[in-house]
Amino acid sequence: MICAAMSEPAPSLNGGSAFRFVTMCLTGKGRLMVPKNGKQPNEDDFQDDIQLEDLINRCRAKDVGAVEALYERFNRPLFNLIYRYTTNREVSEDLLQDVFVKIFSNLHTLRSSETFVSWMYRIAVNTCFGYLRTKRSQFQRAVPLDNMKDRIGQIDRQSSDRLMRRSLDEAIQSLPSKMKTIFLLHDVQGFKHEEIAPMLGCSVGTSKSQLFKARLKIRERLEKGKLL
Amino acid sequence: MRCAKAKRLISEYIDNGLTGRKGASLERHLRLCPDCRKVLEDFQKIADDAKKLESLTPSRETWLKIRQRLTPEEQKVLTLIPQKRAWFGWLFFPPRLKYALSAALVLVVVAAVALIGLRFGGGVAVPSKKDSMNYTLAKLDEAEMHYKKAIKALWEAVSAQEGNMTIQVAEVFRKNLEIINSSINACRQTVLLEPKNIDARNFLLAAYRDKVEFLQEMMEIGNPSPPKKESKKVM
Repeated sequence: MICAAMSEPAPSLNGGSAFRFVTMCLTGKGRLMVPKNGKQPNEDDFQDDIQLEDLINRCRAKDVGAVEALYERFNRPLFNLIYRYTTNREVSEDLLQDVFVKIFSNLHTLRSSETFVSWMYRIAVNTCFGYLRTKRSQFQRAVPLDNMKDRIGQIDRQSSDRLMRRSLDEAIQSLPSKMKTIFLLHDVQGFKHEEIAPMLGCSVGTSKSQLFKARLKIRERLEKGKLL
Repeated sequence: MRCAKAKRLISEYIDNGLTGRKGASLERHLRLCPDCRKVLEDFQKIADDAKKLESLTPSRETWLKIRQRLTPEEQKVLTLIPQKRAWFGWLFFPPRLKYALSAALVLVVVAAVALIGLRFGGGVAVPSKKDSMNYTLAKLDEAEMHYKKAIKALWEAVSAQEGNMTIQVAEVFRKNLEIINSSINACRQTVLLEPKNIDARNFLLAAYRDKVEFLQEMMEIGNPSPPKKESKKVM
């Protein structure tokens, strides 16, 4: 499944040219901007994007320095995305390894550097889904009461802001996979619906409606905890 | 506008704003409906807080493991433990490394001679205490200079082959070098504070010597002995 997704061009509801048109409209330059740490892209990011193409070409030519530079550029956003599926640091690091090995090993199948970011995120999301499929039963286990006592103690000591973020993290964990992915890509990583749609192979409308549902669910959960 | 539709639009509204009739209609609804205003506030807070979620960084080992996995199998053969090399093993080094090692050895010998000269007296006349101190310091300066040159030559050679090292070797190399460098720095600080302290200078020279030896070992690790020719089978 993952291999198939990697060797295919970026899927799009209305074809590759439509996707390119949308990204051109979004960025004004025909390239997919790379959000950094959840912030919306700006002109500096566009300069980075020009360098990205050069970096990818050098990676294809087996330039070790470029491979490391590409890793340095994307390891944090991908790691944070993966971590919010696994909630385990070690597992996330293992999955991050898998993701980057797949990226570097299959870079020659990428037709255009413009689709690199969405292609890379699709690999990451597919890898996470694969992991969740195999480990689903472990994620549905109950939390022992002893652990809960400790956690309640910790929560008492936290400031309200930290408590809110922690609860938000937990609310995100409780979302169904697809909803979670869209919420993470949009609200946490800073991608737009027009960028998320080709990554996940869905329509822009689906991305919007899934985000709306995700926000509603999160709100509901936070309200129950009297955090809103 | 009904609340159900307004809530749907609120999600879009906080992302990029709604313009035209939809936007105006939603804003009109929001002015009249406190529930939907609360939804707008909550969605906005969720979106804002999502951007502030803790950002984690993977450990450095993750990259090293990725690099290891991407390294072709034939390059993983190199082991951490250096192969025993015959005394003439250095002859098999590539020319550049051979030159660097020879230059380093010459410089170390020169430094050693300078130190031996220091130990066994420098002249016929018995020097005064002050002269003896100055002579000792001069010799130590000379030895230090030769060690520095030797380290420079070896460093260039080892740096050139750093790219060929396996991840484990590179990591061990980096950690050991940090320790040796911090030891040199500490000794150097002491020498700067007490330039005439002979013991401090001797410690500094010992630290330099350690670095020379370490760099020589690294060169050997990076250049394993050439494979032995298979002996012809006797029919």
